[in-house]
Amino acid sequence: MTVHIAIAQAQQAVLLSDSQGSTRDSESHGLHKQFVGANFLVGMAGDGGIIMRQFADLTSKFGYDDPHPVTNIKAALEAFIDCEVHPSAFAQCVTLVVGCETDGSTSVYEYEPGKFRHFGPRQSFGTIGSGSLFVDRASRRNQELGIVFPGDQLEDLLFEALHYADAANESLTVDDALATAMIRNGCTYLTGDRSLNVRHAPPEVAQFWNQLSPCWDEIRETIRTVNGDLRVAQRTFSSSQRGELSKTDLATLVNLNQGIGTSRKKLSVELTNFLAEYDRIKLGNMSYP
Amino acid sequence: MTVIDGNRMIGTGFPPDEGVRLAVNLLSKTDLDWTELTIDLTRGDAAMLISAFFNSFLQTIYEQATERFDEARKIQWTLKYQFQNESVREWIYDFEPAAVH
Repeated sequence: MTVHIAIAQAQQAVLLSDSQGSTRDSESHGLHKQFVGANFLVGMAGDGGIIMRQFADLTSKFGYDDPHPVTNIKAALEAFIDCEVHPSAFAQCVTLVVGCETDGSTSVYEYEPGKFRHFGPRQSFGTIGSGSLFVDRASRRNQELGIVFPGDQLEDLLFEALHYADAANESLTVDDALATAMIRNGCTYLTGDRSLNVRHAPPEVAQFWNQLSPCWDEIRETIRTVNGDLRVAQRTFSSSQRGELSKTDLATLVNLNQGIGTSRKKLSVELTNFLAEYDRIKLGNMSYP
Repeated sequence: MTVIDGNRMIGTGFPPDEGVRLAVNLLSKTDLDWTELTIDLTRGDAAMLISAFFNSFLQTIYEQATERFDEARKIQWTLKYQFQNESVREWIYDFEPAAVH
């Protein structure tokens, strides 16, 4: 079973997916459950046979090099289910598409053929798979507590997606070896856990996975550092429940804010380095400037 | 140069508390030379090695052994990731001790 978390804002988007495959009797890890096109991403949950056939179909129709409007991707995905999958198996797969609209903005669409004949309306947030229950619960809880995720930069989306991936990790059928696909300015990028067996992405990415996956270690650990400081900040702020927030508490919050700012700058640098490295690999230019 | 495994001097508690624990443990080693001291935290959890950890470490040194505060600022830290090494340098540079009454 699975979790996919997709968030789209302005010209950026992320699709975070776990890599666990579970059957009634066993589980496996390192499964890449995404399709990474030139300017779109697809995540699927459900029957592994349907998913693999669907991804093979996407490869033959769209490949990895040319950009395509998200409407064409959705139409192809619907046509595949309609033509190639037996109706009794419609309920056994769910799909998330993250793509680019004609104005360059990113969007998320969800497709549940067991319930609907077509993709749902445009969204900025989507989650599917067994772990999505945990994500939905965490999201509702955040809304009740007034926790929001400001900002629309790639760093902000990654931070939010990882927050929810951690929530999904409470599910026994989701693991924490993640595939992290992104869209920035109409181009896709992929990084993630080094254990991932990258299959449905540009061949150069699979070839140089040993160079691309360590970037994820740094990005993920930087976000964990920010989360650590946030945890201290939330605990410090908790004294306001009794109306006892002191000047010392406020000074602590200011220090934490400064510490988080430092980590956030590091995250931006790491992300920029990763995107540049990825572009070099995609262009086939492996010589360093 | 003296290298200490910092992970053996801290637990898995709340980061500010563990920063205090590290400072107290370090101060208890009365024969330790701090002038060329490196603390190795490469096995540490990123969620532990946050600004609050290093701030509480320095604050505790300031409160319990002010005369060692400048030496504490000069301690070298070895961490797993480059971003951690850079961040820690900035946090320690920016740290200003709170007055103790």
